[in-house]
Amino acid sequence: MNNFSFSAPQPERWERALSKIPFLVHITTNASEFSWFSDIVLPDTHHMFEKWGYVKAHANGYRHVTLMQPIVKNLWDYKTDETEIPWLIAEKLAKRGFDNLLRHYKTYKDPETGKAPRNEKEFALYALKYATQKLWDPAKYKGGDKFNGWKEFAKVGVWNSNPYPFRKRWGKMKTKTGKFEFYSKTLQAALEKHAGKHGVSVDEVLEAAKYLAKGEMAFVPHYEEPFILGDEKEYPFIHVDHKSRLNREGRSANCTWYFDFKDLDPGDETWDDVAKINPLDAAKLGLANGDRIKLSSPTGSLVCTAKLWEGVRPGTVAKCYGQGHWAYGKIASEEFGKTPRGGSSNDLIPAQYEALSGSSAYYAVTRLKIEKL
Amino acid sequence: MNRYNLWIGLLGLGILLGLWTTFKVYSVGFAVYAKTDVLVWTLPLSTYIFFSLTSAGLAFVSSFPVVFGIKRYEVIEKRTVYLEIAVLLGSFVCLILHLGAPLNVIYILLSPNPASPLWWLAVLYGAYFVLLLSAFWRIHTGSISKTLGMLVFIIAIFTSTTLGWLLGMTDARPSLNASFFSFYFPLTGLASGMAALLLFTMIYNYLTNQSLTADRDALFNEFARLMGIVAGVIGVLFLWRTVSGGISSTAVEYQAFKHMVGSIPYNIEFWLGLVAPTVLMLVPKIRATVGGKITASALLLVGMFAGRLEFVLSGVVRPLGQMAEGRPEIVSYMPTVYEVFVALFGFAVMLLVYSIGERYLKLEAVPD
Amino acid sequence: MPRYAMVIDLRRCVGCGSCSISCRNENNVAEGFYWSHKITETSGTFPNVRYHYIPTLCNHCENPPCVRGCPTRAMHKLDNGITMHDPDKCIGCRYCMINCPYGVIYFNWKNAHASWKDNKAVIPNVTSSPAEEVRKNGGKGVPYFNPERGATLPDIRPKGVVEKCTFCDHRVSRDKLPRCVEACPADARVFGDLDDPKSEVNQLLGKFRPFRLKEAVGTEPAVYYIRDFSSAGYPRTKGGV
Repeated sequence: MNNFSFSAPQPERWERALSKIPFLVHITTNASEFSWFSDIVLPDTHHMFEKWGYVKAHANGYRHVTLMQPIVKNLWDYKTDETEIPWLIAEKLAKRGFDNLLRHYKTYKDPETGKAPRNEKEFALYALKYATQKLWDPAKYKGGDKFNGWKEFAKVGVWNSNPYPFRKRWGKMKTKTGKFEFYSKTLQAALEKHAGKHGVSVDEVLEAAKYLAKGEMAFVPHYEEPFILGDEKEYPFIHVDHKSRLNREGRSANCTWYFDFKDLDPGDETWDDVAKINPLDAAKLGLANGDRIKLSSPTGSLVCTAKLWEGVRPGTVAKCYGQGHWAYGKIASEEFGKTPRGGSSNDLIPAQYEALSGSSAYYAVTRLKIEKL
Repeated sequence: MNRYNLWIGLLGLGILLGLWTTFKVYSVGFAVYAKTDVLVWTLPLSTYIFFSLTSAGLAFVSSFPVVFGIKRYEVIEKRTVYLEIAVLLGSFVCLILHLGAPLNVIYILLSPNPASPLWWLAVLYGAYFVLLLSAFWRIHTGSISKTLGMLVFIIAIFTSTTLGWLLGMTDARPSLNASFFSFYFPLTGLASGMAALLLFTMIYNYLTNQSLTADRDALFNEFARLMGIVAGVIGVLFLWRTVSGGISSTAVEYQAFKHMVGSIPYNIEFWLGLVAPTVLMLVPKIRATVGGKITASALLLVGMFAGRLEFVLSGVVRPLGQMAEGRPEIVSYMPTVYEVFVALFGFAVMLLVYSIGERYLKLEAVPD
Repeated sequence: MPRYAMVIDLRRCVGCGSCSISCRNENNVAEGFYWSHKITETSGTFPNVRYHYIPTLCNHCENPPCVRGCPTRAMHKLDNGITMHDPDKCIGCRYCMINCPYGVIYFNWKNAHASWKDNKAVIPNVTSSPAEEVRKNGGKGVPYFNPERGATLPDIRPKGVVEKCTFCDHRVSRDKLPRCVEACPADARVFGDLDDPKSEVNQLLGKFRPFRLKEAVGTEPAVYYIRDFSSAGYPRTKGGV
């Protein structure tokens, strides 16, 4: 249920890569940019209300496990990516004499009845009950909210842990010293190991990871100058990327309400994709509200509309993430399969990574220039 | 004969365009009009107001002989009353195409709201129409009814002033205030009515190659002069409205009217509709000519038509409250082709009814 | 009889729009119509700039100009203070829209939910079309159609009549809060009876100085606003010359 050729920075890398894959199957709810490169497209259930599953979160000293449940009738014949599709594949493999997978799946018995799953729907449910058994089964109770069985858990829909007891991990932290480390022995050990493996110094590793700290400075909290791609003279504005209130990535873009309510994002406009520019900067560029502009970074460009807004720091351009689909649906795209509606921020954002964690960096990673069209 | 048929054919075309518009409105929807929840009252309604005030004005004109006993004006009575009916029918056409659900008009009787000026207008116009038909029938069969004439006159006062109340009730839109409009409407109605009568009479004489008797010539010269004076008075009133509301006022809500000052409808109303007729009709040499009279009355009517659009727009171009969200402070308006067809439809119906009456009902006849 | 009102706490409201979006769902409201909406303003010059968000809706005024002007009483007041509309009596004159100082009334210029009538799938036989999705969901206008709205209004209003927020009269009559009030994740909207001295709305109106929109026009709105989003302090100062 991914869409890397839209949702990852520099998606044209993905387009090139996906074009090389000889056989690709996409499980998805929408015919998306990734589906375009696929040989088989399988319809997925919607994660919020058409599948069995769970999501974990922790905050404020609590852990939460929330159930996703099928609460609407499926309009068509789609199957869940995590459970139902693998089961169906297992069934087919078994028919051809390769029954290992199916036999393994059948071990996911319903913890309450002991019955083995007979079809993909039962498998999806039993697998979830199995995975969450410690949360709802009184016999396996380990802490937090207590339920008298699966039914009650499914009705409430969420399990909350006991609050984190103050200092519970004191001296037992998952660090090298077991303590909270201001001088991170853990990071030092990891970097030294990595450096040793590659026959270089720790400082050389840090430099390759685009960090400025040297020596022991790297192991203590310190200030790092943000790494922003692009020369200031050629690309005068820092790209401020932010998410919309109305979608996290780009999944709401096929709803008319997304565009009807787009101005809930402060500074944005309904039925348009705007880049927010401080009026002082706009005056220097001769830009007015509504002008078509092209934003370019060292790795790509997009076309959108200019919006003059005081809520933007001079020297930056703020643009909301989420539009710019050229597939995904009739509303999401301007012309399905051909023309994008709006501009995708990923076309500006370089494929840069925070090297130590591996996370894609999205926010203020590049500089931009603006051209009036 | 040929000219007449051509004319009827032309009017028929206007009616066909109107019927097509009706079809469009009831299949596609009212979105074929101005389309926004800000510009809710536009050309179809302003045309209706133009017609209804002209009709009221004609009622004032017809009151000269019947109510005020100025006997020499009896010669125009029949044509005036018939024109009132034709103009009123034109107004109904525009009104019906303006309303979203005209079949529900029955609820004006079943679920009345006397607190509403619009309710009063609906009731008064209904009564007005019936009384007009009766009055005309009386005249057509040879006599003038003083009672009917008085009633028509009184109702015309009420309809024109109530229309001002209708606008003035909206405290939220001070560009539309009752103290101005309840006076401006009867006065401009009178001018429109006079212009309409003058125009149609002069055209009739021109087309039938008749020359006027000395009496009638003097009458119409007097009439034209009076029209010029009325236009002049309105011009002064209009000018002071512009100064106090449109120039010296700092009230934020007057922005809508300020925007309209100097706009195309405004200029047409003031220069073509008020200044030009005043000047033309107060110059004796021009006033004496048929061409002069026709020009002045035609210009006045064009000006009045534009003026109805001007004040309607001055009430709506500035969106209020949450409707202003995401919109410019003043929205611009351009009538769609279907709105123009609605106006044409109204004119075509009015002219058709009048032309048929002119041909068959002997509007020159003088009742006893 | 109760006299319903709403208090909106601007300190709690972050402008998420849940109220407006859930209202669309509850009342089967057409695209482009905002029974619940907002007035936003960006004021000041960077860096001394603020963004203000005031949630708006029909104010259910005690002196409603829309009701006063409606020739057929299609716009009328209910006994509980709600300003209600009856599309069966509406002649579509739009006089209420002219009279309303708050711009909260919308006119059905065309049939609602036109985009859901589209029969074309982007990939034939593979993806669905809007019309097919509606058909599979019971065929009433929109896939997320709410039949409960039909209790007191046409559940989807026809072309040619106006519509506006009704304080969810169909929910209130069943002792449920209006949908926007339920949907607000910050509890920024408080609903209640002004004639009940103990109601939360009265408590809030006593505790905080409220304001209403366009009070000078004399409509006596039943929607009150309290507090302000920013509770920021600033260094104590007397300014300077």
